[in-house]
Amino acid sequence: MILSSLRMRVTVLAAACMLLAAVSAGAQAFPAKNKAITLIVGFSAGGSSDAGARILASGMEKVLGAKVEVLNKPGASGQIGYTMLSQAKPNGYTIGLASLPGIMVSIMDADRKAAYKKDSFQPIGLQVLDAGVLAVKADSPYQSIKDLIEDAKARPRKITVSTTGLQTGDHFSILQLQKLTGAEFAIVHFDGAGTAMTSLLGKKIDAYVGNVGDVLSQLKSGDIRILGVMDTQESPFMPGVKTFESQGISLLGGSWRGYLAPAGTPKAIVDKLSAAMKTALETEEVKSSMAKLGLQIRYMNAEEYTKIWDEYGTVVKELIPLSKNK
Amino acid sequence: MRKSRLIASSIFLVFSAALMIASVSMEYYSSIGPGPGFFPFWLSLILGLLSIIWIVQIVRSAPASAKTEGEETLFPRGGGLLRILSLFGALCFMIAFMEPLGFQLAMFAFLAFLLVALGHVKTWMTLIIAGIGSFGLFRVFTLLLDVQLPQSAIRFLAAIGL
Amino acid sequence: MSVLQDLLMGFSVALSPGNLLYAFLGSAFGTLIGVLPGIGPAAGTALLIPLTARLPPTGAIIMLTAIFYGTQYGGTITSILLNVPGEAASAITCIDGHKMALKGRAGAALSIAAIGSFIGGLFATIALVFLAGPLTKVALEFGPVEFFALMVLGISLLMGLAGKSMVKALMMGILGLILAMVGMDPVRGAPRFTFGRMELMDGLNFVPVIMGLFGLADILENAEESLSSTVSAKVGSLMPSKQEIKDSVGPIARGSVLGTVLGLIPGMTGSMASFLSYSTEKKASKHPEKFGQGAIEGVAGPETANNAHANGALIPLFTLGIPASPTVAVLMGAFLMNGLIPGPFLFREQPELVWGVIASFFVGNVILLVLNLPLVGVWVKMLKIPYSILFAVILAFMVIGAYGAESSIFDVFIMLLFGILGYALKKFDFPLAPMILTLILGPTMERSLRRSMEMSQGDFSILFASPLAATLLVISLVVLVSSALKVFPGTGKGKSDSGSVGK
Repeated sequence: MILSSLRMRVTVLAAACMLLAAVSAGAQAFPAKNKAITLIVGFSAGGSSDAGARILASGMEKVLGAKVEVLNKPGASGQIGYTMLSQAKPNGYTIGLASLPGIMVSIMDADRKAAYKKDSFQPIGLQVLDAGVLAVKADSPYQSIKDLIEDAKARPRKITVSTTGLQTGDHFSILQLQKLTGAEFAIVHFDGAGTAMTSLLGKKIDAYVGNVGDVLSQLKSGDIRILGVMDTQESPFMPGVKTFESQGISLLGGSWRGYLAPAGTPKAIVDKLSAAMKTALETEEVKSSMAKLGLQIRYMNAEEYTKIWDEYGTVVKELIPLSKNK
Repeated sequence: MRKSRLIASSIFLVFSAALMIASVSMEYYSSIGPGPGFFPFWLSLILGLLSIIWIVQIVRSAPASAKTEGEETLFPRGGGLLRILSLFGALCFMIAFMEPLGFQLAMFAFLAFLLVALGHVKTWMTLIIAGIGSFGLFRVFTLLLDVQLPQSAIRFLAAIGL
Repeated sequence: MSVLQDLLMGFSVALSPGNLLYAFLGSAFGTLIGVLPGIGPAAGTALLIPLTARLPPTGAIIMLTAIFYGTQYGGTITSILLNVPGEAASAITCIDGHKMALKGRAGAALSIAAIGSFIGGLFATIALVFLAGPLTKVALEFGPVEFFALMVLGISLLMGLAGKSMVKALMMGILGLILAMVGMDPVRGAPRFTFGRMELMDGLNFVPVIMGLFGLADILENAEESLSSTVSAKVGSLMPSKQEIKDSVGPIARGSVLGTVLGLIPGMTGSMASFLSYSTEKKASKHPEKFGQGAIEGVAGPETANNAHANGALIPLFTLGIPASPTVAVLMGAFLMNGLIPGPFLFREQPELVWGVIASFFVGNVILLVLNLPLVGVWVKMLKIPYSILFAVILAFMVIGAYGAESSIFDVFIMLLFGILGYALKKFDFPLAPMILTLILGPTMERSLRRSMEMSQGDFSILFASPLAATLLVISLVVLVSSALKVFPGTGKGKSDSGSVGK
C-alpha cells in the first residue's frame, strides 16, 4: 500500500516535471529566464577553439538575454565533448562546438569507436573558417606551390612536411594535395603548431601546414613565406598571399568551427539559436575580438553548414585509410 | 611477507605476459620505422624478465630476511583493513554519485562520512567543515573562478541550486 | 648599452603605480591558483583573461604573465605540506619536500623553494634580456631527432634514481614507459591499452596519476594505524638552517641553467624540467641515499628549475612568436586579444610595452618572494590541523583536483586506481621516482623517435646524422655505463630486498 502510493506520488511528480519541461521547451519561452545555456567545448580552456567559442558565448548572451556558460570537456580530439553533447537533452539548453574535420573523422574512423553518428546532431550554424596555409622558411628555394610539387615528384617521400597532429585538418589537406597532384611527401606529425613551427624555422623540415591563425607572427617577422591559402578567397589577415585555387589546385582545408545541438532539438529553438548566432557575429565587439585572434568569421546557417559537412565529408572519407598510414 | 612478495612478483609477471600478448596484436613494424606494437612488445618483455629476476631474488634471499621481518605482516587486518576499505568505498561513492547527485550533496556526504566515521570528529565541527568543503567550495569555483562543477542530474535538486 | 637603456625604460613602465598593482594582483592570483586543486596554470591563466579585459594592454599582459609564473610558486605549497601536487611541475617536490615537512622542516622547504623559484625566474629573465638572440638559435637546433636524444639522456638518469634495489627501480622505469604507451598511437592512430575508453585516447592524465601515487597512497597507509589522531605534525623553525642553505646553492644554480635552457625548447614542459633537475641533483649529490628521505636538494633543484622554465619559456614567445608550452599558448592568446602579435617585431613596434612587460618579470618575481616568504608561516599553520580533519580535507582536495583538470569523473577513478597501486608499491619498497620520470618523458621520447622516422621514412641513420643528437646520445651512454658501474658492484645478494623505508 505504502509502496504503491509512493509510486503514484513519484509518477505524479514526474508527470508534473515533464509538463514543466514541455512548457519551458516551447520556443516562445526559449530561453527561459534564469536558465543558462551550456556550451560544451571539447577542447582545453585557452586554445583557439575555446577562445572563439567564448567570444561567441558572450556575444550570444547579449542577444538572447540568457547566460551562455562554456563547459570545457577536453580529450580524445573533442570526442568526449561530442559524446556528451549527443547524449544531452535536446531542449536547446545544451549546445556544443564542433570542429570539422575532427568530428567527421571521429565518426568515420572505426578505431575511434564513437558513440554518435552524424545524425545524432542538429547543426545550428558555422562560425569560423580558420583556413589552412602551406608555408616554407623565408630562405627556402620554393617560391610557389608548383616548385614544391615538382620537387616532391622528382624526389618522392624526401620532402618533409609537418602537420600539427595526426588526423587534423592539416593532415587531410596534405593527403588531398598528394591525391590531387600525385606528389608524395614525408609527412611528419607534430603535437601542435609550436613544435612544428620551431622545426620549420630550424630547417628540420621543409614545409609546414597549419592554420592562418597560427602563423601570423612568423609571417609578420618575415621568417616564413606562405605559398598558398587553402580557401576560395584570400585571407583578410594575409592580403596578397595567393590561394591554392588561383595556383590551379582546388584545395579547401583548415578548421571549420560551428555549433551543434543534440538531434531532436525543436526546429523553432534551433532557428532562434541560429539567428542569435548570426546577430552576435555581426556586432562590432565580436568582430573585432575575433579579428585580433586571426579567426575569420564565416557565418553559415544550418543548411549551408550541413552542406559543407557533407561535401568535405566525402573528401575526408576517402582519405581516412591513408591517414592511418595503411 | 615472503608469500606476499611472491604473489606481487607473480602479478607483475602475469601482467607483463598479458601486455605482451596484447601488443602482439598491434602492428610491430611499418614502412616508416617502429609500429604501434614495437615498444609495448619490448617493454613488456623486459618487465617480464625483471619480474623473473625479482622472483629469483625473493627465493634466494628468503631465509635471511625471515628473521628480521617475520613478525610483521605486510598488509593490515581488522581495523586497518576496515578503514582502508571505507576510504575505498567513499571514493567509489564519489565516482558513482558526484554527477547524479551534484557536487554539493555528494561532497557533503563524502566529507561527513569521512569525518564522523573515520576521523571521529565532533558533529558540529563535521557540519562546518563538510559545509565549507561542499557548498562553500562550489560557490568559490562557479562564481569566482567560472569553473563548472557538476550540478545534480535530478531535476528538482538542480532546480533548487544543488 | 642600449639594452640597459631599454630595460631602464621598461622599469619606468613596470614601476608605475598602476602596473605595480597589476603585477601584485597577478602574483597573488597566480599563487592562489597554484594552491587550488583542479586548476592548472594553463586553465587558470585562461580563466582569468576576462578579468583583464578592461585593463590597458600593458597592464593586462603584466597581470597575466604574473599569474602565469605565480602559479609555479603556489603549486609547491600543497606538494610539501600535504603530499598532493597542486600541478604537474611540482610533483617531484612531494618526494623530498613532504618528507621534510614530516620532520618539521616544512618552513625551510617552503622558504628554499620560494628563494629558488625567485633566483630561477630572475636568471631566466636576465637571459631573456641579454642573451635572447643566441639562446633562440639553440632552441632552433632542437628538431625531432635532437628531442629524441635529449629524452634518451633524461631516461638514462633513471638508474641513478634507484633506491636499494636496481631491479625494482628498473621495473618501475619500465612500468612508467608502458603507462606512457596508453592512448592513441602517434603515427598510426591505433588505440593502445585504452580498453575502449575514449578518456584514455590522449593517454593518462598526469595530475590524477600523481595525486593517487602520492597523496592517496599516503592516506591509505596512514589509515592502517588510525585516521582519528588529533595530533598534528610538528612545525619547527621556519627558516632554513645554514647547512640547508649551503646544500641548496648548487641545486639552485644548476636548476636555473637547466630550467632556462629547457624552457627555451618548445615542447619541453615544466614537469620535465623539474624531474630532470631532480635526477641530475641525485646523480650529482655526494649523498644520493639522502634523496627520498627529505633532502633539501630534492626541493631546491626542481623548484628552481620549474620556475626558470616558466620564465625561460617566454623567450621563444618574444623572439620567434612561438608558444613553447600550452600555458604560454594561452598567454599568447592574451597578447592577441589585446591586439598584439608576439614576435621580434614587437621590440620595434611597441618597445615600451615589451620592455615594460620584461621589466615586470623582475618586479613580479620580487613581489612573489616578498609575498611568499611571510606567507610560509601562514601555510605551515595548515599542518596544525589535526590529522583526523586534515585527511578528509586532503581527500576532498584531491577529488576536486582530479576532476577539475578535465571535468572528468573518470580521472577521479584513475586517481583511486593509482592510489591503490601506489599503496601496494610502497608496501614492496618500490621507488616511485623512476616510474614518474619515464611516465613524463616516455610519450615525448616515443613521439620524437617516430617523428624522426617519419622524416627519414624509416632510416635509423638520421639519429646520428645530427652532431647535437649524436653528442647527446653519447653522453647518455656515458651516464648509463657510469651508473651501472657505480651500482652493480655495490649490490650484494639478498641485501636488495629487505629493510624498511624511514618514515
